[in-house]
Order: sequence, then structure tokens, then C-alpha cells
Amino acid sequence: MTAGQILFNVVFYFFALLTILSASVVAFSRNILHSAFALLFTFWGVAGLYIFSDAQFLAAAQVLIYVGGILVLILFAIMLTHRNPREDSGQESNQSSSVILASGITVLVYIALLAVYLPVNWSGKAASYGTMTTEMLGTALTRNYLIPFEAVSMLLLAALLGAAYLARRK
Amino acid sequence: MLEQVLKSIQGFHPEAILAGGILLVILLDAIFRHRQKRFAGMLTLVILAFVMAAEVFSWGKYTAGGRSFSDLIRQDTFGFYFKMLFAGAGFLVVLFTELQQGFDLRKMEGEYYALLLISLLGMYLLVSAVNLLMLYVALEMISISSYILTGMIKDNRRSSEAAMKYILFGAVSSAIMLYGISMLYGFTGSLDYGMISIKSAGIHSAGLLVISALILAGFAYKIAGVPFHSWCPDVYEGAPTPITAFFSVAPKAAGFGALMRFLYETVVGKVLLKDAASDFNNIRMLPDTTLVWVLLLSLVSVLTMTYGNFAALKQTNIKRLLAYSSIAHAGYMLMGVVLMTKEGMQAVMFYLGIYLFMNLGAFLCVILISQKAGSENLEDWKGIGWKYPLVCVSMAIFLFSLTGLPPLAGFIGKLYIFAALVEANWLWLAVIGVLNSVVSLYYYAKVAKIMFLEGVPAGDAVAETQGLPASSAIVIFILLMPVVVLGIWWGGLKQLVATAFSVFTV
Repeated sequence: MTAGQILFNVVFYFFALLTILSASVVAFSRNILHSAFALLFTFWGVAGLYIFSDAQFLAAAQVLIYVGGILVLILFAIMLTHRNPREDSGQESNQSSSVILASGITVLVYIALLAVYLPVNWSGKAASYGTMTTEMLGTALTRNYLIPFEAVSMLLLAALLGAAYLARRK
Repeated sequence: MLEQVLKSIQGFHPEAILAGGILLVILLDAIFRHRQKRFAGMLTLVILAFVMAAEVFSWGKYTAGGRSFSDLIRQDTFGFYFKMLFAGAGFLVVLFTELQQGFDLRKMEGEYYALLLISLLGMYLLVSAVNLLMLYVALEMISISSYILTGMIKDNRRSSEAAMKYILFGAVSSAIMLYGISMLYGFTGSLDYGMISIKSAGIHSAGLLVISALILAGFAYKIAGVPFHSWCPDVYEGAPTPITAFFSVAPKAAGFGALMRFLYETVVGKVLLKDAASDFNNIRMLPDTTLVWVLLLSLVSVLTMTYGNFAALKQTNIKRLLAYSSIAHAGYMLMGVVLMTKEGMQAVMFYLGIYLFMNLGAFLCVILISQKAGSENLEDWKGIGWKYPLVCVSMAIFLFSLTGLPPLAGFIGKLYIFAALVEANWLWLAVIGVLNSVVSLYYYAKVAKIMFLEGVPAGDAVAETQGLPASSAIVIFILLMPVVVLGIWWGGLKQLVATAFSVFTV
């Protein structure tokens, strides 16, 4: 391994670990504010992983939209709805039936995922798209994927209408 | 590229009119919001009439077939049939909204109709989609507008709660489906139905099972099939009743249309391919994909109809009762899809055509009767049949048609499904279906019994026929006619379905 490859691997595992660790904080933290802040690092980690998959545009969009928009929105929602956001939510679901059900489903999902991914032969070479992905994406959106692109604009219009209506005073 | 887009737009007139209509409704509503006179309902009716006319005029292009917009959607007669159903359902629901007194639309008219139209546009795209990306975007278009329509009545706690539940369940099932789609994309390297059909031969069977189950989650949610049904009763109860009527027919038909196209192009298509294919390796894996889907669908079908029917037995609210009934009907129709044959799928399309009239009819009667009774609880409906005989007799007819009693249209619809099952030697499924129909008779008949046999007014107070405006009577008649006539003379609809489906016989 050359020095460059070592560096490449180190950076990759840094982002992978960052994503996994912060995601587990999101899931396991008892304080909802901690979860929200941990989500910030998950989003950054995923953005880093996108770069490793040659998806620069996706990485930038991830940072702009999720970190810049959605996360701020989540924090606002927590601040506005919780009387004391720093307090532990404290609600421990002690109902054993729901715990058993949830763990049962989780185990089932893991078994299913192992059954899907284990038999696959991953030796194939990963496709590389070079550095022009943003340009390719733009071309695809205005040519081959014109109709979903327009459909999404209608979808956003629906969301906008609904948000304006629900937020409006009577 | 530009020529191709322009050419695609040629067969895209109905959708273009619909999209333009949405913008027109929003714009005119914003300009004339402060006028006293309401006009958005009428405008929506005109737009839908134009859309339907454009559909009919595009028939020639549809029979020619062909993919448009870079092979993402296919404008054909199969889509035509479903699009006419959606536009028809939309048209009737606008009428329902205008007929319902006490449902104050003044502050939300523009949003209400615009969202209804956006949801219709989503359905139009959904049944034409031959690409998973298009399918997913269309699915979300329907869902997002449905969530808002459910929560339209802002000062009603139940409406808001229903909308919240709808969003949560919708988001989960949509995420599950998306995960399935991403796996399928990972394995086949394509989102196009045709490519998936060829490439999915290489997926090992465990992967096939998981992927199919995940993708089915999204469809099951749209058609309210077990185990993705739990939003259904709450949403039906909480949403404004015309919207409930809309949800019970249009998105369900859209879900079935998309599911059938998906199955026919990616799974059944391969069975047909078997005769023509020269590459033996492609065929070797064939039975696997079909088997997995048949297994999953038959399981969901049995669970859905049995659960729907048994849960409906103890309902006391008519909208909840009809919600469970619509779950059960999704189960019946899934039986036809399980077969994966031309006969089975045609039977489902035929049933959906009839279901549109009988279910919308039942909901219109619910709107009118609950206005008179002042409640949607069955307890308050005792003896109401003697006061308002016209509406209540129509209600009974719609309910008996939903049960599948001859000589009503619902009977013919079920007959075709059962006949297709027996023909394909799926006797056990047919038996479960028939037994379920028997169970359903109990709760449908219970409603009729409450209306006519309980709390009968004494003496001469019988048959007080006041109170039904002519406009309501006409709309009831429009819905009643097909339910009765199609039970006797159904050849026309059958022919239309056969022609619509002919696009798939390679």
C-alpha cells in the first residue's frame, strides 16, 4: 500500500466510524437534544461517504439540505415544543410486550439483510463516474428524467400549499 | 432530445391539462379569495371534464402504445382505463363536496381542490410508470396531498390526529419500499421495468424474497392491505367524508394499477418471455420470482380480507365500518392479482370499475344520512329508513352490492374473480374468499337492519319523504344506475377491460 492509499483508507474509516458512532448516539441517547446534535455528525459522516462514492453533488446537497435545513428545523421543533429541552425525556417504555416485539422485528430484519447480502459475490469492480457527476446529474434531470423532475415540482407545490394552509391562522 | 420530448407531450394532453388546471385553481383562488361567491368546485369539475375528454381523444394514440419521456412512462389503454376511473372518482367527489351541507369550505376551497387535483395527477403518473423512480415520485405525490387533505379540518382534533397517523404510517411504508427499490437497483443496476425483468434472474432466492416483500410494503400501504392497513380506519373516520370516499376508491385503484403493471412487466413478463427467449440462462431462474410474489400476495390477500371482514363485524361507526370493508375488498381484489394471469388481472380491473360506483355510492348515502341523523354512529340511525326511504334504500342497495349479492353489479365482479381462481385451480383461495363474503353479509345487512327494522316509528309517521334536494337525488341516481345495470348487462365494461388489458399480451 502506498502512502496515498493508507491515507485514503484512514479517511474512509474515519467517516464510517463517525457515521456509525453518532448514529448510535441518536438512537440510544435518552436526551432528545443530544440525539439531534449527534444527528449533525451522522449527516456529515454520510456526506463524507458520498464523496467516497464519487457523488460530490450528493455530498454537497446532503450538507446544505440536511445539516443546513432539516437539522436546524428539528432543533427548532425541539426547542419550541419541549419546556426544558435539556431534560431527559425520561419516558422509558417498560412494556415488555412492545420491547419483545421491537427486538423480534429487529432480529428478523437483520436475518433478512444477512440473507440478502451474504451470498452476494462482491468481487466486482466498483463503477467509477469520474469527477463530472454534477454535470451528468444536471443533464439527466433535464433530459432523461425530465418528467420525474417536473413531478417533483408538483409534489413540492402540494407540500407548500399544505404547509401554508396548516400554518395559517383561522 | 427536444424532438423526443415534444413528441412525448403529444400523448400527454390529459396530464398537461390537469397540471395546468392545478395552477389555474391556485391562481384564481388567490385572486378572488375575498369574493363571497365560491367557484373553485365548478372550476374543478370543468377541468376534470376536459381531462376526461382529452383522455377519450387520446385513445387512438394509446392503442398505438409506446413509451414516452425517455421510457419512463407508458401511455397505453391499460392506463386509460385507470385514468378514467380516477377522473370519474375525482369528479364525483367534487360533487359530493358541494352536496355536503355543513362542511365549511370557504376558508380552504382553493387548497382543497388543488390538492385533490395534485393527488389525481400523481395517480395518473403512477399507473403509467414503467420505471421505479417515476413510480416512487408519483406515489409520494399522492401521499403528500392525501396527508394534507386528511387534516383539512383544522379545529377538529380527530382530523388532525388522523393526518398525523397517516403521515407516520405513510413515511414508514414508503421508506420500507424505497429500501426494497434500492436493493433491486443494487442487484439489477436498473430502475426500468424491462431491464429489471431481465436482470433479476441473477438474484438469489433469499434476496428475491426480501426485496419483493419490501416493495410489496409500499403497494400494500396504498391499497390498505394487512399488515399496512392500520392507518385506514382512523384516517377514514377523521377525514372529511367526501375525502374518505375519494381515498376508498382512487388511491386504491392507483395502487392496484401500479402493482399489476409492475408485476406484469417484471414478473409475468418473464413467463411470457420464456417462449421467445433464446438465452436459457435467463429462464432457468424464472419460477423463483413468480413463486415469491405468488406466495407473498396470496398470504397478504388472505390476511387482508379475513382481518377486514372480522374487524368490521363489531364497528359502530359507519365510516369505520366502511374502512374495514374497503380493507376486505382490497383482499378480494388481491386474489385476482395472485393468479398472475390475464384472466385474474382483468377480473380485478373489472371489479375496480364496479367498486368505484358502489363504494362511492355508499359514501354519498353516508354523507346524506348522517346529515339527517346528525351522527355517523349506527346507533343514531335506528329507523331512519322510514323517514328518508329514498337515500336509505339506495344505501341498502350499495351495501348489498358490496356484499356481492345477485343481481347487483358487485356479484358479477366477484363472480369473475372466483371464476378466474377456480379456472387456475386455486380452489382453497376461492373457498376462503367465498367464506369471507358470507361473513361480510352480516355487517352489511346489520346496517340495513338498523335503518329499517329497528326503532320503527309507530303509526302513520311512515314515509316522510321531505328533505332530499333534487341535486343529491340525481347524483345518487347516477351512481345507482351502473350498480343495477352492470349486474344485468356487463358485456360493455368487460369488453373495455379486455381491450385495455390487451397491451400486455405480447
